[in-house]
Amino acid sequence: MKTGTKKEIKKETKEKTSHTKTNTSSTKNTSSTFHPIPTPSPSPSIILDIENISKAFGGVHALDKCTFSVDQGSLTALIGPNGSGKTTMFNVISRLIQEDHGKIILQQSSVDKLADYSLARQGISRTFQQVRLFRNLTIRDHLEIALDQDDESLLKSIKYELQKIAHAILTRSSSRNLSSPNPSSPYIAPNTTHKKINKVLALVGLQKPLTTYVTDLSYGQRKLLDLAIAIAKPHTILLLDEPVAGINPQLRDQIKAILRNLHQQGETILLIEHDMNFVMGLAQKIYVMDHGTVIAQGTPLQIRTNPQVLQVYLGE
Amino acid sequence: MIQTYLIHLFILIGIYIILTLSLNLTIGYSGLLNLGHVALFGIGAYTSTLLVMNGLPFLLSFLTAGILAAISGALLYGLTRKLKGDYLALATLGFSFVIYSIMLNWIDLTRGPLGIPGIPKPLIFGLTIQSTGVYLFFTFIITLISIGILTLITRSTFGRLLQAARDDEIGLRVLGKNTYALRYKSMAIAGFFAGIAGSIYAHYISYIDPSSFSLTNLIFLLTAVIVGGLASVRGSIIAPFILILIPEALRFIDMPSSILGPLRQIIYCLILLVILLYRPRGICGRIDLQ
Ligand SMILES: Nc1ncnc2c1ncn2[C@@H]1O[C@H](COP(=O)(O)OP(=O)(O)O)[C@@H](O)[C@H]1O
Ligand SMILES: [Mg+2]
Repeated sequence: MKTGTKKEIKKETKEKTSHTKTNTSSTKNTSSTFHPIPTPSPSPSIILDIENISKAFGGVHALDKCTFSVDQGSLTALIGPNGSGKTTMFNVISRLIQEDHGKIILQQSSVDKLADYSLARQGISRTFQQVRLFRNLTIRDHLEIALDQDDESLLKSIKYELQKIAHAILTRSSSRNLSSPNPSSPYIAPNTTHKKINKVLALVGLQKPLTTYVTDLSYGQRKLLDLAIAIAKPHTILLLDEPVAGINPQLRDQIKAILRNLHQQGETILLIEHDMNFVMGLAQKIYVMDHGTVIAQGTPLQIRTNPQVLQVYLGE
Repeated sequence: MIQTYLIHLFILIGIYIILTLSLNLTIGYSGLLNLGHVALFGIGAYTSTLLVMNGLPFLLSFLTAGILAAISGALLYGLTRKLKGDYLALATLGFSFVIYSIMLNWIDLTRGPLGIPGIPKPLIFGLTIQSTGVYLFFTFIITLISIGILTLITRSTFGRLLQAARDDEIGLRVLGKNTYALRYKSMAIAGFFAGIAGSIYAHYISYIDPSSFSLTNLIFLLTAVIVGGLASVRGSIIAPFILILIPEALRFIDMPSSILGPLRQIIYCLILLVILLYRPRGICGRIDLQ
């Protein structure tokens, strides 16, 4: 655990937070085992800590001693020109790519030994720049898979299936009229799951029948579903890779409002965005990446007036 | 006479339904282009034959055939799991050739190309299944149970995860699902059913040699999966009927057997071609593989 000795990052505090040096919360160092933090602690603490991450693809240094951190409950933005290494950073964090050097600490635990799916279970939920959906499944399938963290057991899922059949036989006369709305997915969600699905769809504003196949959704609707899946999956931090890329201005505003809403509900969000203007009224803290490293950090106001940042963006 | 002949066909259809459906679990539902299925079928046939001929009870041999083929299926996945698409197909095809070659060359065990004749009829609960009618009944029951179990699996949340992994493996892993574990299980299940199908086949035909588990048979199974439709249980039940019954109609045309064999192959090809041209997703297929 290097959290305490880590090179101090000058912390720019926002309105309500007091001027504490947040990343020296040494009490958190007592245990290295993973303990999910159910409620946000009163003073912000670091939930995700990236230390000196480097990654080269052949001769391309996609990440070069990249260092930053994300506070619990914050909305942090990672901006930078195309090819500056933002997506690679996400891939390293989510263990899809192994870093060459450096360290990633999620809630006081190092993640370097974890497989991608185990890390996801530890509380990281992410989206991709290019929407990744299951093309032969419905909206409901997607959200149920995201919500249900216990569906991999073969025996359990068969037992559940048998219970459903028994239930269907017992209530035969009534179910005949209500014949399954979607033949591809006879799975009927338990009530709580159903409520959660409706809630998250309402949150992102996706109004489509649950039995719609994702191939029948527009690009914007897919982006919304993608976001809904990431939100639905149990998590402690949301990593969003360009959630508004290629989206019309109206939907853009809608997504901005969703993100603001999520943040107000106490979510921790790390957002990649290419467009500086989008994150201006949104993020509390911005890190600017260029050539695989963080070249500037601060509040939106500080970033907007930082000459180095302007140069990077103008030189693009 | 015609009755015995029909019984024979329906026993074969039952066996091929189990084989097609279990192959579809890996190819259609799991998206693994698995060409090792025919080897698992062979492993089941030889295991059951050798165990029964060495004095083990039939039911125990039957189950062991399934379990050994299941283990082989899981092992095959373990060896090839990092491969994708064409490479996976090639590697699993290699597995089929290796097993075929073992059957051919491990003469002490398998008698090689001579094959094993005189495989006894199953002895279940003290009764030997002598008549083909009873054997058809036995096959029918096993086929029905297999269809039931595989339908349950494909419809369960587990089956849905297999489909999700097929559509986007990375997308599923970042949701916290261990796609390797899912696919191990899928290959093991498919192996189990291929193995028991091998046992039913061996004890019915009463003679096996390596040629029963060759490329020709693999192509037949693949054709059945495609004609029925990827990820379709119904399709995998219908296709063996079509592919076995239609060429059989040829028998009633007066024709030398030297022409009959090749003609049968031509008919399979024609059926496959017609399906691919006019119903690319198969008779009952629904899924779309990019
Ligand atoms: N898998 C990869 N193989 C080779 N080069 C890669 C790979 N992924 C990213 N890169 C390179 O790393 C650099 C950073 O890319 P990326 O992280 O996608 O940037 P950003 O998301 O900021 O636009 C680019 O030069 C890109 O070409
Ligand atoms: Mg990117």
